[in-house]
Amino acid sequence: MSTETTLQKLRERFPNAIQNIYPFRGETTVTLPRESLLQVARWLYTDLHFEMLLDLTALDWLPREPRFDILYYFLSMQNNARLRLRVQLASNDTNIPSLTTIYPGANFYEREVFDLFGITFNGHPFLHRLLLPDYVTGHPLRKDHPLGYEPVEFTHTYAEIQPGKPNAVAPPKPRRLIGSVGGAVTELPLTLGEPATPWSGGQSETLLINMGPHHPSTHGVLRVALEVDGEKIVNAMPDIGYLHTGIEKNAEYKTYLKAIPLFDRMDYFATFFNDLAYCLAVEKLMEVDVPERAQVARVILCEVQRIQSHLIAVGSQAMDIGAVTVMTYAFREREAALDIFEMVAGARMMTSYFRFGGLAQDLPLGFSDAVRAFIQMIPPRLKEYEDLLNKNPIWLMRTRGIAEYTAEQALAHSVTGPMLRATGVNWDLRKASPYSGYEQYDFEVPVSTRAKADVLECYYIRMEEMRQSIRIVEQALAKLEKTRGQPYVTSNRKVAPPPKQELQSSMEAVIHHFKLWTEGITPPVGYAYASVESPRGELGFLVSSDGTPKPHRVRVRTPSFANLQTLPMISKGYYLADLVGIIAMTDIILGDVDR
Amino acid sequence: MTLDPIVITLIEAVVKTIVVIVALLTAFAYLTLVERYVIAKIQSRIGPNRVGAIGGIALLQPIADAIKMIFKEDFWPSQADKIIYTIAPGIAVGTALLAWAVMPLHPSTEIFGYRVDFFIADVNIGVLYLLAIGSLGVYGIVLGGWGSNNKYSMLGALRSTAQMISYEVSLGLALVGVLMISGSLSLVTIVEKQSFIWNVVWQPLGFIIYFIAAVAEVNRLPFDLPEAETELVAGYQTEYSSLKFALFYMAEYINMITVSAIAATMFLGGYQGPFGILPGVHWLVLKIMFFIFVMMWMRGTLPRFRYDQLMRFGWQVLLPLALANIFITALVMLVVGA
Repeated sequence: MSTETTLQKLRERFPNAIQNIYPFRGETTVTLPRESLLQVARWLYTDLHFEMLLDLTALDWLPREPRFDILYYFLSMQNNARLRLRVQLASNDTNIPSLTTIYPGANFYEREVFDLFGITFNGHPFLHRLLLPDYVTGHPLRKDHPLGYEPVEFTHTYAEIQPGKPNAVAPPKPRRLIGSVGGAVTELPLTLGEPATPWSGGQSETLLINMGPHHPSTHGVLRVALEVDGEKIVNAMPDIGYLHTGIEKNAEYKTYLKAIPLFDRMDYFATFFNDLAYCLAVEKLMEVDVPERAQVARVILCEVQRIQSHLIAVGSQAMDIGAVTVMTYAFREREAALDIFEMVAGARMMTSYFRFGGLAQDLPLGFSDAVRAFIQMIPPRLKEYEDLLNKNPIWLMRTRGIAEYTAEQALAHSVTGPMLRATGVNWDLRKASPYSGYEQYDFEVPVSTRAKADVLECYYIRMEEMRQSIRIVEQALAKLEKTRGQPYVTSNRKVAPPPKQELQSSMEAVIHHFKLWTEGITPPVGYAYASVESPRGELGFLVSSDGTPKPHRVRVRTPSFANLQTLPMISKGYYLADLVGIIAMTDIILGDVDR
Repeated sequence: MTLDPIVITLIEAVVKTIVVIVALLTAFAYLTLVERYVIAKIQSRIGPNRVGAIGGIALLQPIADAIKMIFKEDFWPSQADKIIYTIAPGIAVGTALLAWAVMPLHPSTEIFGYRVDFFIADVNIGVLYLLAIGSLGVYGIVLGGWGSNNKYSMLGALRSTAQMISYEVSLGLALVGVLMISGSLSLVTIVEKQSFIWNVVWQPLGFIIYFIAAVAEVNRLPFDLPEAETELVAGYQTEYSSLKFALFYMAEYINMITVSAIAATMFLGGYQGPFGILPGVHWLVLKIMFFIFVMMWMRGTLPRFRYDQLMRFGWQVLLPLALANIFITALVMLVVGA
């Protein structure tokens, strides 16, 4: 179903609800009044098969009135269609109905918007701050939020340690924390949908465990408030934000180009994907063409990095279940991938290699050979892991049937990537909406044939995806040979700087160079969303421009953030020992979750 | 000058005890190095190769580790049960060492006219003593986990209680077959009877059951649930630091040596060589090293069981097999008329 028919149906069904339809860069944004939002969303879900709420965010257009745009981005996998709804809110009335009853995946998104923009979602079962601690005042992503001078608070203040000192400040009020025993926990429910019931503490048989943020296997600084009955999990509630660094806010104060290194720091095992998605969004906004050599190089680097990321996912999953050897093997292979990244970008992890319209510089000599050696090395090594794991009865016992979830549950919670494909949903952006020339490559999307996904199924999918990535890289290397000597970056001088030799002969080149280095690029007013299939799922950037050299807002739809939401649902009833395997299965990167 | 025989016995016992303890502690120290090195090789890493390295192996690493451990802060959780928290590592090491009182190490020989027995005591219930002392070892872990007042420690302690009690049953029953063949509970007699053919030939199933249960008993992978690092941080050891932590480690490694020594003694003829070749302590050491290497190898290869799977395996697989082993042994003995 095309966008036109969708809009046609929407007009017919809700003739009075549509305030505005705004097509821009191939995306359609429909503006609705707040009152009809729930109605339209429910209709989109039931009648038009928009199974997934892909993203939910807000834009602050201070001093415009109505000030806030709340953007809902829906995805229909069945029709391969996307639709954005926009609700505008005035600054003095920031209430909006919650979508959690239709799309449970709205849970984290609405909490995030509540946290960072101060929008209240009526009907949300658990509307508390998500990324920031409860005691923080203000909403940082609002444009009028003061910058700097934010007081840093610690649990133990100077006053508590040395109360006699004259300059000691008063200790802060006791903090509300989920999972801390005594007092605080009573205010917070442990699952979505349940009313905030007091934790029964001493009376019941359950034990409350604070797993993380410092724990060997929470893959970073994730905190899980765990309620266990013996070793069985009654509730597992993820508490995030310990790695929140305000990247989205930071990006608003940098020029478009200078924001690239920030995004490397999000998903630090998929830096090329972050950069690629951001570059694609800006390229879409500015309508820039990317030369073929750059596209091929992007594909190669991304696929090598996908292998690298999956190696870590598989290795750390095995380690969490006790097979440490697989992890050290996987890290051994990863070294070779990092060597390739170092070769092209000079950095092993924070690559920042892609630029708008192409690459930062041409691929170095010996690149093809290094990549070829890497993809020749990987298949026998994958065989090695499979020898260690695939027929190991303990491994099978620990993974088969653990954390089972269905496709419906995954879709409802906005899950993408290998976790979704493990449920049997054939959805891969490289096939569904190809970017960077993925339609030219011959590869398969591994999809599970079982009715329910579990930890083992996700492992199989990741192993198979690595093999498919090798296929893609092989084909891309052949293409790369053909593009030798071709430009690696666009010739659009509004985006990419002119080559050095041009500067000496052309006045225009000097002007372009001057403009680029003093001001930067200035995309037209509007916003564009571009997404890539990262190793963890759909990674999308919504770049909103107000016509100045700095982005008005960069919203990142990260896959880990949505995938983590499923944790309470999929871990309930399993054992404490399974939880580490389940966290490893979701393959979250906390930099990606918290941003 | 003639000494009272009792004094001689006492001196002999004290000397032998000191020798055994020193040997065990040295073995513990170097086992940590061996383990790190072996695991490193399995995992394609380099392993310790800095402190006093000869040929790429850091031979002084255990000493450096010990010095580091001593100077670490001895941390006390504020709500810990001080007494229990302190004595728990002591119990763990004490019981680990006590088992060696009945272990025959070498055939008895004449030295300077004295007949010297290379065991501290030949108790006629040696096997029972071993099992009893082995069961006491769990107290160190349980009390340590309980006394720390930490939830991870407590979960680790609970796991180890359940695990060790479950596997002790199979462990004991696996040894019964050997006792039936040997007709004695004395370890010295059992070893002497294996001078030509080892018990493992008659008791292969019992041997396998014993080894599995023994690995579970010493909390090694794939049964290392009480200290499962990725789940329980460090299990019962979470709150321990400095020397108290080192003591737990010591207990674990000495237990590894002990169960290997028991396996060697009960099934592989202890200090007896194959077909009676050159009996001596070197055989015992070789066999212990073999078992310990297998344990390290398993650690480098296998994932970890889950708590309920472990219990199910212990009660539903190992225990019936051990009982079947006793039954078959009895049946064969009845038929053959031994």
